[in-house]
Amino acid sequence: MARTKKRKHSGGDKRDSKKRRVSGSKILKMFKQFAGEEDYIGPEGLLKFCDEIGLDPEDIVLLVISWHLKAEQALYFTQEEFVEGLQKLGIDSIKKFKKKIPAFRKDAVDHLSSIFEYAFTFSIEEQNQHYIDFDTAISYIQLLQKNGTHTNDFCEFLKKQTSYKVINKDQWKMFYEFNNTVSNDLSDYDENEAWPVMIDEFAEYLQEKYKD
Amino acid sequence: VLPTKLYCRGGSNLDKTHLMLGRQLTLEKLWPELEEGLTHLLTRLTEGLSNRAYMTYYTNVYNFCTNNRPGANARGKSSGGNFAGEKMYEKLRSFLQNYMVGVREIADHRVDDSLLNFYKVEWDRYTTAMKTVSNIFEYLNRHWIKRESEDGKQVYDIYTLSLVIWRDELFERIKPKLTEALLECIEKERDSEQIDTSLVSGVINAYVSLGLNKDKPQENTLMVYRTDFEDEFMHRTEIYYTQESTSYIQNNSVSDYMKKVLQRLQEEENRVQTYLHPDTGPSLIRRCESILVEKHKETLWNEFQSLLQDDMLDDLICMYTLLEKIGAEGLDPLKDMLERHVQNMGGIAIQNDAENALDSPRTYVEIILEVHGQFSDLLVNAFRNDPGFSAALDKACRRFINDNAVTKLARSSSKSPELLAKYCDILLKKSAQNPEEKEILDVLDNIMTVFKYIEDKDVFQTFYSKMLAKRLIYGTSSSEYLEGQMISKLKSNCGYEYTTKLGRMFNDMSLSRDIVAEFVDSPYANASSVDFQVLVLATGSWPLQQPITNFSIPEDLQQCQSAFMEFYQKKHDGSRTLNWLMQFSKGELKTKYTKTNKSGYIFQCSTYQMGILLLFNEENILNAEAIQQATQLTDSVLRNTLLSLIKTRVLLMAPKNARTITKKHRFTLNPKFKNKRAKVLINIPVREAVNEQSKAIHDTVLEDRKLQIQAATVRIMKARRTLRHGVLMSEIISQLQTRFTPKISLIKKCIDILIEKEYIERVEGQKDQYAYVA
Repeated sequence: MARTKKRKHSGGDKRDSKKRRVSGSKILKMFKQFAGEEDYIGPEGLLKFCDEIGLDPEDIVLLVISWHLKAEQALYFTQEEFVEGLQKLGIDSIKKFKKKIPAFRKDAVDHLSSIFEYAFTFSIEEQNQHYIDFDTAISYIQLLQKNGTHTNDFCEFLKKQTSYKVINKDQWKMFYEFNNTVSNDLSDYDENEAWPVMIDEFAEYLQEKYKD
Repeated sequence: VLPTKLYCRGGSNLDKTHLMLGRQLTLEKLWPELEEGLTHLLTRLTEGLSNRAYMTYYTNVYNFCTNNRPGANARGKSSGGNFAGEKMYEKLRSFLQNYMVGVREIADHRVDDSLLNFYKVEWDRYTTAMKTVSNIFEYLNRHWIKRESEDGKQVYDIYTLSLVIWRDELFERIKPKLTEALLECIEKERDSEQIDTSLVSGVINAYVSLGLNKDKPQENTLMVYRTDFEDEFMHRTEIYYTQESTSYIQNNSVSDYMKKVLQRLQEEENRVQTYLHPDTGPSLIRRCESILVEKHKETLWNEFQSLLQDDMLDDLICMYTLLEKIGAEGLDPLKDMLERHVQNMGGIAIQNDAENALDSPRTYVEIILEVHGQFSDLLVNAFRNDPGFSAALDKACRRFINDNAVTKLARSSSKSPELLAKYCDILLKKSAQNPEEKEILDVLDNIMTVFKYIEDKDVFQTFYSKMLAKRLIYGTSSSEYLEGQMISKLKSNCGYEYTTKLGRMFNDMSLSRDIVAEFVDSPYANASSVDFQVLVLATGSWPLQQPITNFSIPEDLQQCQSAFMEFYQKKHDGSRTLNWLMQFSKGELKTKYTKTNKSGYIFQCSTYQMGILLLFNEENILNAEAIQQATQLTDSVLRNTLLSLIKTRVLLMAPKNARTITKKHRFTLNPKFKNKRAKVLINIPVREAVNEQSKAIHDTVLEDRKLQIQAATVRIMKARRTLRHGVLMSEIISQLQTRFTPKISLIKKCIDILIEKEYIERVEGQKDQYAYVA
């Protein structure tokens, strides 16, 4: 699978640039363990990696790690991303990785908004692509907004409606906003506010669905 | 004004007056004669006073006062001179008082009119006489009285003194009766009885005259008039009209009531002119308006609706006139009712003929113009062009013109501008009727009146441009003058930019003529055997689309086309490309095959029709597939063209009646084709095509609007850098409102597009703010 270069995006944790006691060579060794001959860790390497750390590949922590590493594309870590990222995190061994897992889980809560936004850009596969397909969108929404007020309804809406086939970044971000600020009964939703049209249509859908 | 000195002939025993001088002058000596003279003046005024008597009295007073001047060593107040003046003043005063008592005794026995009469007569006589008396005592006025009053004592010049005495001794005692008598007179007059208005006027003037300013006796105030007459008068007026209006309105129609009120108001105005003081005017009228109009305004409002419905012009004028008097709040409910009524009437008028109007632009526009005209006239005739009513009319027109039974049938809110533009087309096209140019100009003016109310003005413009283009291309304009006139009208309503586009179309037409003339003169023209014309039009200026079908040009025409292409490319050194719009081309075919006409018909047909018909020069029967092969026309165009040839009976189809034309259908020329005329127009539009066109135009407008909205948004954001959502929305709407009213959902879609294309972005942390992306 050829990798294409994409625009850089902002994501990842900006804390902790002071160097902890990490060994660059150890990190590099770890990298080579999973990358093999290539200069990147691909999907196979990642599976191995998850195995070693004791993570389910579907686990949200993997996404959090990618976010920390500012990985440009899902299922791939470049050498640069891996090495620099781990240095910043202060991790140079599997053991240290394992220790960090609870902190990563906490990140998924504390920095959810940023991670949610990151999930979009890192799912894009082609250069100049500005949208993600519904399947990808739905799976990330289920993952990151498991208990969201409108999560299930929105996924249903995406599947049922016919005006859109993909979702763009603005709609993605605004959905997060909607899911986290607008209540169940839509009492604080105002169609005259700056929502994208897709969200307005979703609100209409909700109103229809829960008419009584 | 009575002369201050009375001169007359004829003697009287007053001629026996004596001039007294010097030491003879004591008050006891002087007074009796003087008193006689005064009495004479007061009681027998008409007899007059002889010069001699007058002079005698005057001089006696003078001498008396001067001989009793204060001595050389007298200083200040109490001295002989003063005392004399005072004595004389006192004598005079008590004389007058006595006289007044006498008058009062008579007055006490009188009431009503006889009292009024008596009062007036006495007053006139008294005041006239007292002016003369005052002159007789002039020296006293000028010296002792003046000095005393300057010292702040309560002494008056003789004339004023007389008024004071009249007031205190007579007026104050009888004023209740007097005022009552006046008020009864007025009430009688209101009850339509005749009264002596000069009597009333005279007595009221007396009231006014008695209003003496305590500090400045020379000045008149209206105190007495107000306190002793006007207040009670207003009170009675109120009672009278309250009672009258309530009972009248119960027993009569509102229409009659209004007339009565206007009559009463006029009456009161007259009353003020005739015998009331002008000062009373404004407050009297206002009070009457309040009682007669304001208190019954609801009754009037409730009647307004039926007056509108029954078109009762006179009553409407009355009602407007009356309610206008009590201010804006009196008219507001009328404005609302008018608005609703006009909107209703407009809606009903259109609904009654909706089916018809949907298909006939003329009918539709004429209905609108009738309703609008009817109420414009009403606005002028009944409501005096009142701006508030004018605004109500405009609002109502705006509503029923843009949203009515026809737009609902068409399921499009833009049907109105479409029909309006189509009506323009009908008027500007050559027609069988050929009405006067002036007539047409008037109708065009009316159309612009309706245009002002149209919300989707851009739809009108798009249709108009397209239809103008067709008129120019097909040469169906009835008059260049009218076309030009219409453009001027559009210029003032739509702006410069729109009309310059139209102007360019006209320009192209004349440029085309020049090019063709050049072509004809050139050697290239020899190559073609067919007579033909070309219209060369600049792509950007004309609202014309590329053809939706291919077309294999018949050979005969190909020559023309190539010849012209060569000529044109040579002329422009190959720098320009020509796209042939075959769908607008037409021509004439001469026929020789018909059995019904020896010399053959001439068909005026479209080029596509020609392409099909020329095939029959080679074959007698052709099926649809073959025709398509040969002409390369697409399915829908082929179908429409064949249908038009069938409809005009030029071609016969087997099987005859088919819903759709399939490849197997066979076609032949109809040998029995017959027509009254030798030249037959067979290039008729097929209905479907027309409807498709309409829809296509609406789609064009929609696309155009999206671009406009996006352009406006980017312009605004570039200027303002960051903006809140609500503000951006209203800025966009206001920038575009002269062209169309953008829907909120459409604007939002455009904003979404611009965010995706990264022209604008949301501001971090401010979910309802946008920022321009440089």
